[in-house]
Amino acid sequence: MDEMKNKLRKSFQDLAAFTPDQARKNRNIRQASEEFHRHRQATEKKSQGFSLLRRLTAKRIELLNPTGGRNMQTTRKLIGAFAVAMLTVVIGTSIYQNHRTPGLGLRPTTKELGTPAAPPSPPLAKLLEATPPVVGGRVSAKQQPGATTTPQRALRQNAAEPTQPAANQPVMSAEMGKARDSLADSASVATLAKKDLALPAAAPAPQPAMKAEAAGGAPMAKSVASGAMVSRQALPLVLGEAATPSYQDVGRDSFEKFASATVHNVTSEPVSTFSADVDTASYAFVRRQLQSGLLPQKNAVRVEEMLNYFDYDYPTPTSARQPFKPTVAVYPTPWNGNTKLLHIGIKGYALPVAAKPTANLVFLIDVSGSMDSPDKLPLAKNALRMLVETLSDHDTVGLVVYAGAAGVVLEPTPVKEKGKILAALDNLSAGGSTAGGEGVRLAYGLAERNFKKGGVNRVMLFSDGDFNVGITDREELKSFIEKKRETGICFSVFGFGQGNYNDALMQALAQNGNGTAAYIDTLNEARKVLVDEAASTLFTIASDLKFQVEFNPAQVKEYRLLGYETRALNRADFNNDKIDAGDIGSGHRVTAIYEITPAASPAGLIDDLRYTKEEKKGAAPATGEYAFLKIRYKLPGESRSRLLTQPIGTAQEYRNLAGVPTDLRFGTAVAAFGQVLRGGEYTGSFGYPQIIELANGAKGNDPFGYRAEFVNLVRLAITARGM
Amino acid sequence: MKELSDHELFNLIDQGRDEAFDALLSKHYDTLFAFAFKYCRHRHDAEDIVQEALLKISRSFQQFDRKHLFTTWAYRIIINTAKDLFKKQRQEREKHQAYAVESATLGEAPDAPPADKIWGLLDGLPKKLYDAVVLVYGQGLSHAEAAATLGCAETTVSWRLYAARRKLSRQAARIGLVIIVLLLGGSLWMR
Repeated sequence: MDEMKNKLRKSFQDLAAFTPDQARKNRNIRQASEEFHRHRQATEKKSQGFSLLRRLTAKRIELLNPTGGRNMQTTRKLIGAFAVAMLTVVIGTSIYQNHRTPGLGLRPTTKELGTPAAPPSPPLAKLLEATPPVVGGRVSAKQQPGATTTPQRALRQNAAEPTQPAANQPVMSAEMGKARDSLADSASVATLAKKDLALPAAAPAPQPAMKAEAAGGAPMAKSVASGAMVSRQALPLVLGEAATPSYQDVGRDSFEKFASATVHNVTSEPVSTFSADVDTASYAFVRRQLQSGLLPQKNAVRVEEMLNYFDYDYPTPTSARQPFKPTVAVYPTPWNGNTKLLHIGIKGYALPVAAKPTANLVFLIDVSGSMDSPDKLPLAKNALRMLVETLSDHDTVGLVVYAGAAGVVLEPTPVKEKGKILAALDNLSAGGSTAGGEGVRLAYGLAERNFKKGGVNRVMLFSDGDFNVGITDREELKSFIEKKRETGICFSVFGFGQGNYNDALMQALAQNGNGTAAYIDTLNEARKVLVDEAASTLFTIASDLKFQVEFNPAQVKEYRLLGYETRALNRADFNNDKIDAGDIGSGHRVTAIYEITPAASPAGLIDDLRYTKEEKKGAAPATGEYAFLKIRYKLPGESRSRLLTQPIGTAQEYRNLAGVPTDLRFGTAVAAFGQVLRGGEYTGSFGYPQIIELANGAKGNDPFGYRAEFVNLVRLAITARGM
Repeated sequence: MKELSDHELFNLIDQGRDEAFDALLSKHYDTLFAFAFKYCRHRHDAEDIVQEALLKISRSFQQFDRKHLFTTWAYRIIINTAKDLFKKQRQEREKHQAYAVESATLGEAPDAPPADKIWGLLDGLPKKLYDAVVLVYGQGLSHAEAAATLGCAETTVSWRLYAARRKLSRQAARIGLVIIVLLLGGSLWMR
């Protein structure tokens, strides 16, 4: 019998070797905590009105059942106290009930949320901040039915279609955090939209837009559409409707949060500085979301990465010594009749095939359990196979994989022995947890041992970004890669999959490792990034590329950079060669667009000051120059930067949009789309239909069909649902 | 960073700090998974059971009596979830088999323990005895803790364990006997 006890213990002990899958673990825990948060909020709301009563009832029962040992005196006191308590309850409840605005409809209003009995927890406090404009909108809508502003309209729509939010609920996965964000967003979008409408000339045709809105015209003006969409998402929360949303994996991807760049006044901030960015990950992710019928989350949309996804026909430089030539243009803004766009584009020198240095590549491949899905590891393997095919015989490829532990699968092998490399790739399969940090170290070790002086040394990570074993601390990993950057080894990141995609981490790693970040969702995208643009991905022609634009206050009143929020630099960083910035590969292009308000324009979002009369400093004469562009970059292997300058003036200006070169117009359409997806704070009534029109007229020579695909995406965005 | 005790975490959670709930789950996840795995001995099922159980825990955590051990309570939820899953699997056996085929082709890590006749015997035990065996011999709980999970008296647990061991030993012995008889029979027949 005892023997059986030991045998059982022993058998069970053997099972201890089976540890949980780390990715699954994280997902399960995250999901449960969200459920907990949701559940708690729901029950707290339900019980709020009665918690006071409940507590007293408990007391009362205690009072009515006096236990032995009490004398008459205490009993009498108790009865007295009980009577007072009852009175308090009755009066208190009636006051409390009267206090609520009858028929307000919105059950847990701000007042209720604010009852001192329940101190608002931080999320509730946030809710409180965000609620008033919405509730206020509703009330005023009742009072003056004629006036229609965005939030009211959104609310009324909701009232008219009560089934809508419930239907939307499961899709948006009702993550409280996200919904709360969008709630705050809706408030800001609403106020901004109002501002847009209030300014008589801010939008090209605000009047018709408003009419269309009042009539409930189908294609709504953009700001209205987004406002309505956002607040509709947020509304079920405000209303506290009993929606039990089911768990959805979609939307669990993590993105760094950032606010859209704002308008700057030229008198107070005449200089704008930012680092180049050649990443394209955002566009591919947005495309994937739209193709599955969902609007991407706001933080997934980075305007600069959408712009840089496309190839523009900028003139290319002819020598590697001056690796690029800026193209600048000024033309009217399609979404605002009173502002102009200042377009800056550069294309990097394309290295001729013969001049390509030999490459030492180490592929670092995530084979953890979370990669086990057709759009992850199998796609990555195919992508790598294609990349290996494009390499030349003397390049070497090493293979490091990581899951629960990291290991070298293939020591650096010259591409001459292609069969060996491909066989090693074929043998990979997914399973286990994700010790990404360990893998990164091992891959760098391999790249260092095989370092090619004067060649390309690069670690290429293929992952869904879910690191959860080993160095999981983002900061630690970042600083490790940053340190390794000094050794001359670059780090590129290729993101895969959806549902668990950690964009924030991937971006951080690529930016710190002087590398690029791309998101690969289809084999076609893999071909674009790894084959068609292999040269750009692999061969750096200039590093630490920084832009600085000084605006001329005599010509420009206000400016706003579209995108590059995560790449902004301080003014002094421009001349400081120690400050890191983006690298640019062979044939890469970088596009930046500013929206500028000319000094003479009646529009403008920033009012003049009443007390301080700003002197037009330096009194730069109206030379016809809008701005002065400065570019700093380092050639490969150099530590001192070089400077490139270019004035931007009326010489580069186009009077009307139709005269602007096709490629610039297409870029403008892409920028508009990015902004509208981010909430369209500045795009006024310029919406998807207008973007489609603009892009359709600017497809130009589109050999791979990327531009046609873009137009389709905008069409999809019209019908896509918010998450 | 010092790990907080369960009670410190409970207090934080009750103060409205949701991240403490996250910490509580992270702290116990591996233990709960280990238990689920021992209970069903199938990786995918164990992951699913833990997922579902954690959701149940999230929804009913407000009702959980803070005086009790969190794990004891969680084990009970896992057992119930596992039983629900088994029932559902019986109904959807075909679907499940299709899934098993798919995961096999993806070349995953093995998700079944080494074949041993003891598991077959264990699966043949009545459910009440089985639960007690996994909790005490598998998860190393004391009889009292197992009793708290199963909602019965401590002596009941001890009795169930005894009954289980007796059954298992007899069955093991019976199998041995059958083999001997077969061998004998075989050798006689050979003659």
